Amino acid sequence: MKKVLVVDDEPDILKVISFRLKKAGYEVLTAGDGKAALDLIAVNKPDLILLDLRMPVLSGEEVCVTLKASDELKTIPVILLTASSGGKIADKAKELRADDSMVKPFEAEILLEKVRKIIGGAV
Amino acid sequence: MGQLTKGAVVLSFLKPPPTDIKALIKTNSIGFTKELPGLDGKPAAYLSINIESRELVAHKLFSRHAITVFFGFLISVLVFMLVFLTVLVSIPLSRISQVLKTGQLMSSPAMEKDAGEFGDIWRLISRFFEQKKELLSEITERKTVEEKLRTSEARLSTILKSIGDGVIATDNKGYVIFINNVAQRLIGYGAEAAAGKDLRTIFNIVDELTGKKTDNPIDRALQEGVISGFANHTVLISKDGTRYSIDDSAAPIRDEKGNITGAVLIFRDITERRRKEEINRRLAAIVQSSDDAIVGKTLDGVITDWNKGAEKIYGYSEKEIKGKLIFILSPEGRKNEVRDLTERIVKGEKIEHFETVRVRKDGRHIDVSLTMSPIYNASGDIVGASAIGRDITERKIMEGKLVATAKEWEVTFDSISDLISIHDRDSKLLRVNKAYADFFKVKPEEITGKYCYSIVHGTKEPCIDCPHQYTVKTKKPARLEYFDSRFNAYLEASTSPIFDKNNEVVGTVHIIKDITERKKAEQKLKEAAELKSHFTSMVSHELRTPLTAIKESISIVADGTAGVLNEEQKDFLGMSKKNVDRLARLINDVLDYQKLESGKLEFHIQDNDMNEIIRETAAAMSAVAKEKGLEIILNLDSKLPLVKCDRDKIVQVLSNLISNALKFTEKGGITVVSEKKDNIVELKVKDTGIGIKNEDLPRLFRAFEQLAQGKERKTGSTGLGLAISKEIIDKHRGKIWAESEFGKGTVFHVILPVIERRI
Repeated sequence: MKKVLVVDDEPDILKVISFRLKKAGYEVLTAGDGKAALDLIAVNKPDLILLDLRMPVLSGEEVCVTLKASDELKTIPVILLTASSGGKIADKAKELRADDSMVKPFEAEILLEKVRKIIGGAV
Repeated sequence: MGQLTKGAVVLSFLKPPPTDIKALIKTNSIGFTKELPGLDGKPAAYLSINIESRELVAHKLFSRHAITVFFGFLISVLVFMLVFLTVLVSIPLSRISQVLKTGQLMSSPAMEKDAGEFGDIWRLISRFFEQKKELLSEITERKTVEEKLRTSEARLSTILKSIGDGVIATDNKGYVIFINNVAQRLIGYGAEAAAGKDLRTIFNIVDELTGKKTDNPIDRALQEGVISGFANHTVLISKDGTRYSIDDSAAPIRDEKGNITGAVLIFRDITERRRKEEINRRLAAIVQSSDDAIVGKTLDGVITDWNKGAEKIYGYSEKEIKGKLIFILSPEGRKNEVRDLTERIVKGEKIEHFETVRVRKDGRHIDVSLTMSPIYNASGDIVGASAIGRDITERKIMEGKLVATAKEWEVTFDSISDLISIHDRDSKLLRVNKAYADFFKVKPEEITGKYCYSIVHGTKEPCIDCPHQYTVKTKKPARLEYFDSRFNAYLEASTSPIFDKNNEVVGTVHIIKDITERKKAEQKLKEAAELKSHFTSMVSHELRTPLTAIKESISIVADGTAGVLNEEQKDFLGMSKKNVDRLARLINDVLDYQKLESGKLEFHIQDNDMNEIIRETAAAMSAVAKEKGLEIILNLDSKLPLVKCDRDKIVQVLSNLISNALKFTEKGGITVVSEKKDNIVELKVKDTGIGIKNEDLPRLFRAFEQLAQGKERKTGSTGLGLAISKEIIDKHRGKIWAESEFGKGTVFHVILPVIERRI
């Protein structure tokens, strides 16, 4: 079963996304801030990370930079999430070498499609 | 000697006696020829005497037989004859012979009284000798006269040669027979070259003024016998081309009978005199034609000279003022002035541009500027003064006006509250107004020549972005805003070029304004705008996060993922979802608009196929259209060039236009058209909807307009869509507008420029 790590400081967001992913058949890990995410990744490496950019303690951006700087972790695909609108997020994704990005609020189906595209179906 | 009846005496002055006489003498005649020498020793005349002797020969043949008787008789006869002959023939003959031989006439009373032939001969000879004597004395006399004549001629020739004028004498045909040295020099021909030449060919004269050849004066002398004199303004052109001004005169030469035998031409080189005359004439003309009054006067003040300018300025004619005193021109109270000036002149002083007042004949006072100089006589004594007066009344009036204008300008200049300064090209200060002097605490008279930066910035060099230098270099106005810590003020310096008539920058005008208040206001505005921008983006972010959670929760429930719902529940949750979407769009639009307005929205310009954009957008909208039972028809120009644009932004505009069209159309369809026109691409979105009232068209692209207008449109949009679309199209340097017929439909036009690639 493919493992997806969802990182967001909003528990409600974490809950709805986790629900969707689980329904779609993925194993879901969650973290409430960047530091917690990195700690978790160190012990339980996911197949894909859904990473919110604006977070306390350690921002999504910093997490992404850390991951991409690590030989071991840089291969983990990352989809950035943000509540800030506009074209900037796509540029940010490119800059951070993330695989894709998604603006909140989103259509759940589109998010799932992006995930499927990168790591395939749940099974 | 009665037989001797025939004889001849021939006296010839010219040539030896004729041959026949000579022949006679040789044959049977007694005779001889005698040359009579002249004074010069050469034969002057010839005297031939011939006596025929045929009678004598006849007597020789008389009676041979009576010789004896006859002899005695004969002898006696012979003796008688001898005596007779001796007395009657021999003696006279010898006398004659002696006279003829010696050529000296002796006095012989016997011969004088002789009534015979010999007496005749003697008297003849005597008369001849007397005549000869007379002749000789006549010849001698003539020689003396000739000698005298020669001497006089030589003297005359010498006189003519040494005369200062040119003298040429001609014969009656006009051919040169005499030419003196001066004439030779002036016409350029030597005596030999000129001799025998036609005077008209070598004496080449033209009129000084017209340059045309003039008649030779000797023609009149020769033809009319009159003395033609001194034709004025004649120029003699010498053989080498030198031009001499001459005076000439020709007179005929007559012999004692009064016949014209020639002509004499006398001429004189007056070039120098003419030149002086010309100078004098011109000086006089200059003086006369001068607009200034030129007046000459004695030291006593008696007016001696008065030109036309003086007549014009003072009103008196030359005639009426000459001899009057100069004081006539001085107004009351200024009579002493002339005396003082004259005293200075006597000292040899020159008075220049002395401005005073004079009174005209008509009593009018005029302002004049006088320049006075002494007049010297030939021995260098000051005998008078010349005064040049110029009427400066007009100038004085003009000066007054100028002063008034300058004053007016100065007052204006100093009344302006902005700081104004005038500079030369090097930025040196020429002039500043009062505000400038007050602000920089300088005295206007002290700043001249100082560099502007030393006053304005307090520096030793101009600042890097000096607008003065920019203006001088580009001939364009320039502007600089800066903060001056010395005054704790924001200042704005604007510089404008000052051009000369050749459009060259000769200096600049600087205007410095204190813009501190404006700057503060601007700063506040800027801060407010930034705050607004930050606030908006923060608010939208903060709104989106809960919205995401709400939207997802509702979706999960509405989908039935979290359990099966009844129809009523589905209906209400669907409504919730729709409104959440609307809220999300509203937030996006507000944010987009905010970004566009503050210029923060970035554009990614690339070459795009407009038809492809249209097809994709239409495809995305087709589901909504189908729901409403409408069709989106595409009418695309296949030859459309690529257009430089931001693909996502154009999609946003097209989506907005199509969704609007769908929104307001219940029947019919939507047509999207693309078309190339010249160097633009035009897109049209046509619908068959309710249309827009004419008066509403201008408000269409204003933000939040729809919210205000409301009623007639079915809601669902923020009212920002068209405002955002307009911003986007404007940024592409395109145009967007709408045409509509209320109740029949609307056409939205979008024009985008095509920038052709240059190969």
